[in-house]
Amino acid sequence: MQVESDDILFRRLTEDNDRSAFDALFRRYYPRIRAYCIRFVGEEDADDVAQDSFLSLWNSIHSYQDGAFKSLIFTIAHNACLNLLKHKAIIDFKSKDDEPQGCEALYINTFANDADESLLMDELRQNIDNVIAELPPRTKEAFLYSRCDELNYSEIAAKMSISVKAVEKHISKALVIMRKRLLCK
Amino acid sequence: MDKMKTIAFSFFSGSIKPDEEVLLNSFLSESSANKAKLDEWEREWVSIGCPSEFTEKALSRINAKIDNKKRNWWHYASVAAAAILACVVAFSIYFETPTEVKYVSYSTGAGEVKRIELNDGTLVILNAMTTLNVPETMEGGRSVTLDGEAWFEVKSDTENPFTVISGLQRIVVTGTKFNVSAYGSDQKFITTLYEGRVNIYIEIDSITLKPREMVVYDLSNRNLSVTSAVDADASAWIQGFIIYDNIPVSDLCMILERKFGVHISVASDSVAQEKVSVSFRNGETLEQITSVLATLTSLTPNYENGKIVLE
Repeated sequence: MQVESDDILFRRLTEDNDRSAFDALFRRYYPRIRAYCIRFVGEEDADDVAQDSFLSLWNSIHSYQDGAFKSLIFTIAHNACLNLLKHKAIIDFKSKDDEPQGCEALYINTFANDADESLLMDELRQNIDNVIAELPPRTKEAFLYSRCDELNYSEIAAKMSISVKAVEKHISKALVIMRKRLLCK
Repeated sequence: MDKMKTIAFSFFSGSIKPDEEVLLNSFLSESSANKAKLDEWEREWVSIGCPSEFTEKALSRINAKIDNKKRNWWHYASVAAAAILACVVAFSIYFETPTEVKYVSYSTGAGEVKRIELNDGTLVILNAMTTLNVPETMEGGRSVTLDGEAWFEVKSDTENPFTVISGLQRIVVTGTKFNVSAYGSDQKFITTLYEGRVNIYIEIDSITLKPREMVVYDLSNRNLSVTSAVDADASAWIQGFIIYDNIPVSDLCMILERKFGVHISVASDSVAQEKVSVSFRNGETLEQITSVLATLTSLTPNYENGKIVLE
């Protein structure tokens, strides 16, 4: 079978909207992109995240006139995973501690142009840490008691000498701020 | 087979294991010559068609999503031109190629044996705890997926080869009789050929089997080994017999569990790995078989909570 280079296929894709070029690039990179996604969002969500990444590239193909297909699809998938993890982190703060197995660097070294691109989990942790650090002090205190120490609202109320209602307010405030800061970029 | 090349191929096909990722990454970081090697292997993988079990279904789904958007546009456009509308819609339905093949699923429970005749005349007999997926029509290709054990008598059709897929193992035949044991929870897949010729593909390896030969695909080290199958024991299960020569006790326990639906295990790891030969042809009950197994291993069976433990 004749092997056409990524560049030729990508040009056919951006200039002629060529579906067969898209199919060929999909076959070439979907398995690895899917495997990358599994490491971070798990098997259940990986197929959707990986496929949505290719779909989103197809839908906005005209914005990508130059650049290599490989690093483009990787960046899209990387950001999609990061976004999903941020959603999950807001709901279940503990999940950020689940370290994926394997070697993320392998994908960065073979996909990204800039091998200094940061590791996904590090990026996520940094983002989340930054947002938490900037929460108002009492709100931050209540939030950490809830998500890190896993205290229930009455326990937190006792610790902070406030009412349970006040604890509820702090927690929802924290979630609103986190949602705003983490997801709107 | 070059171990690093095999790992590279499983990287490209999306089936690489976490510890292998680490190995491959070190290989890459060692020298730029290694990076060139990886590019060469990638070209080879692309030239054989980018084989991967994850792609085809995903590609159909994505194409369906893209086409949905296109179809809506056609629809709105044709509404504007009344007379042309009918022709355009008729044309697009006529030329529209189905993007997804529908599969029919057959399953068996513990101790169940099921005979199925497929649309093309192929006979399949499923052993216990097995699932077989068959496409609704075989004209577009005779490709089935198997998780479990089955006996196949494939109707000959040289134009349309018959493929049995179990994970990364693909068995391709044009017309033959063979037995496949490919339970997803097992560490070894065993294919035994009775008649004709069979080609077995696993990632970049392939083997052609001759009659009375048997191939064992070891999933733990991705090794393929061929031996001759002396007796026709591989399909003895079809008659309800349990005949195995020189198998580990733990494997026999797994076979009994699938047949009787009762969890059986051996307390000692060393005994679990000992090999035994058994031949049960008279419809023996689980109690009778357990007592024979107990004698063979010099252990005592303990029945509790619906499970059997030999200790």
